[in-house]
Amino acid sequence: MRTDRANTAVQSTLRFKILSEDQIKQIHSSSLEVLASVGVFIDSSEVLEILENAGCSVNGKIAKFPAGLVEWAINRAPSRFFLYDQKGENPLNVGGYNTYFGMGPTLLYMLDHKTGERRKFLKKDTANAARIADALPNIEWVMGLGTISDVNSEHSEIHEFDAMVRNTNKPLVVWSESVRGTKDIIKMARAVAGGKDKLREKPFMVSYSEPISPLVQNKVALEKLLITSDNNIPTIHTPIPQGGASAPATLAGELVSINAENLVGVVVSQLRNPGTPIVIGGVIGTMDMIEAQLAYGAPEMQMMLAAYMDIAHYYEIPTWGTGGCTDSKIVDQQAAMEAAQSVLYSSLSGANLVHDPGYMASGMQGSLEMLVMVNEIARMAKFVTNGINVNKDSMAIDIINKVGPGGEYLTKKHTLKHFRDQLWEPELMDRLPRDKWKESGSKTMGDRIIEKVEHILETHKIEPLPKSAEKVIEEVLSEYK
Amino acid sequence: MSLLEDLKDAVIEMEDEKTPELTQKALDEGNTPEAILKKALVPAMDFVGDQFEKGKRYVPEMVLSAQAMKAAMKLLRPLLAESGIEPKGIVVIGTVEGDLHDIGQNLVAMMLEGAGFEVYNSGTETTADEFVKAIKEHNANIVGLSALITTTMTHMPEVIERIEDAGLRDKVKVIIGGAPVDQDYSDEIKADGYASDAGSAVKLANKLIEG
Ligand code: B12
Repeated sequence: MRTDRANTAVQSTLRFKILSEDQIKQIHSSSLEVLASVGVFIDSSEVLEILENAGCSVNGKIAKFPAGLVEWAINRAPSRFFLYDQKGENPLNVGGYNTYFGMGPTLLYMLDHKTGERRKFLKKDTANAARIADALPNIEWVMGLGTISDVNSEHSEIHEFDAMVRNTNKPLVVWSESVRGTKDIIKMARAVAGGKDKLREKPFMVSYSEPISPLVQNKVALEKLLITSDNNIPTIHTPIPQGGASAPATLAGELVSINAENLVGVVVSQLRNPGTPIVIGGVIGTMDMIEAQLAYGAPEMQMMLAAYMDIAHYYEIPTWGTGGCTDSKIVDQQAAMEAAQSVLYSSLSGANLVHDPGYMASGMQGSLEMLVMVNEIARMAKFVTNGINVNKDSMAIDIINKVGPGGEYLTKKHTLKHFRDQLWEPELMDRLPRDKWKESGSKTMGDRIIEKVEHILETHKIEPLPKSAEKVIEEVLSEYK
Repeated sequence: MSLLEDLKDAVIEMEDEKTPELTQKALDEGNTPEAILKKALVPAMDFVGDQFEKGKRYVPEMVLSAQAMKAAMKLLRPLLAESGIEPKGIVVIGTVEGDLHDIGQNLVAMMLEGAGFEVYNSGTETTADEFVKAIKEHNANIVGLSALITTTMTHMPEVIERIEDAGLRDKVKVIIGGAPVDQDYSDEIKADGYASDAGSAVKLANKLIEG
């Protein structure tokens, strides 16, 4: 549904659609058929009970979903939610065609920007990534980026939260491998927000969990979904299929399959707590059939994601996109190409929370440089999706007539008035005349990115946490010794 | 063309619906199970493996050929056993406790099967005890451990320890794989080897079997 207001000038912005409305309905009805006929493996007796009570047929651990129930849940799920910063300010309007980039989770390695070498992911990397993101206007929320290896790996998620809240005020996407971890993260988040009610009223945190393609919902992921639904914490519950391996090789078939997986999260969350925010989407990948790797930079992935965003817009449910990532091992031409393509696709298709900027090497390695580069790409994409403002003033007929044939615009007040907000200003892109570029050291994009990374790390300051929050975090951390 | 040639082609052409029938015919014609294996199935898989290495065949073509071979082996295996011919190697493979990532290890299992190993895939979340049980049950001489997460890879040394406790460590080679592990980790936990992908896993298993 379009929600243009009456009596305002409608601004047509640049968006694209991959699927026609008929195609969307075909995929929707096919997913319903899959859910009703073959069903889904649900590895949680608690969830099976909820589903059975709501009219699903349950046989062993397989639940089959009546179409009416699924459509009820789709309609019940909110079309958007407001994701605040940790002080309860500056909400992101997560829904519609609004696109916000953030990071991804649990990478194993870091591409060290100082040495250019790959090494294990450390706690300081989460801290640095959060601080970099805090300073970058177009990285608008933060995720931990990697699995912290210099603490007990089972405690990584708790240390990750600690490192994030101390280094950014932006909204967070959190994850945990356990129910205990999820509960402790909620406890710490409440302290940061200033209490349980504050967190509920102005959430700054979204939880992340994953079903298993094809058509399996595992226990921990479901248990997390129940806890976060109970607490009205917006939850991303999205799969990572690989077309040809864990989903059909046809792009439409993969969409049918992953849509069914996503809709299970919608049904479970809405049955548990009607109206709690749920987010659909995923890493809608394909397997590279030569190397058997999930390809993070593939155009098929960008296209399927964009198509899935069409479906989610039809449902009016907020989305989890994937972009700003690459299969390259270094920040090179390939990295820039893949990141740029996916950032633009995400923006044009109106993916809401787009994760994985900073992801490299098929989801194995992270990079601060990538974050800085994606920030610049996202600035360009945002400029493009803002579209062209067409009105009497912007069409500038008066000034065109005044200047007339053979005149100039540089000295006109009209130019002065508009050039800042109408023209895009590069931060990292080089437009120097050749001589100046040589004089200033013949720097490559890579050089400029590293300078910016270092500059932010040296200069960007974060306000310390309130003492009360600090105390709770210390307490929780001490339980994980 | 001879029946054995036809069978070889059927494996190469990924025709798993044809291979059992052709195998039966070849047996009826008086070919020994061993001859069928050595003259049709093994050369077919060698050819396919070589094409895969060269990038001329892709993963699905590789695993579908392996499946066609497996369908033939179903008929041959009991006969081979009767005549006292041991399989090249018996592998138990699974993901370790807590790990649900099975796409990679399934691929490794299929490729090993294609290379002539008898493979028992114990699936996801296999505990140390279950590994030991499966090794005993199938008389395995290779065990493959797969882990994709840093929190689950720590179960690998536990499995090795349990295998030692059961007195089986001399009998079975331990190979490991998955995103967070590498050769260093393999050395550290005293496994017998690490492989980064399914192709190398086959090479590694072959090397270990040859001793
Ligand atoms: C797909 C995927 C999933 C799917 C798995 C579906 C399935 N049925 O397997 C889902 C979505 C369910 C999933 C869940 C999770 N995942 Co996951 N997942 C991946 C992903 C993107 C691809 C894995 C894959 O299938 N690769 C393709 C196959 C063919 O390759 P492969 O598995 O590496 O196998 C090859 C080799 O490793 C080797 N090999 C593998 N096993 C063996 C065994 C032997 C004996 C040998 C010799 C060789 C060998 O040969 C294989 C074939 O070539 C990886 C990233 C990555 N690049 O690995 C993350 C990844 C492994 N997942 C990760 C995480 C964290 C998780 C979760 C904890 C997520 C969460 N936050 O909730 C859960 C955990 C669930 C659980 N308890 O296991 C992290 C692990 C990082 C870490 N720090 O440990 C990774 C690296 C991604 C990331 N950066 O976040 N995941």
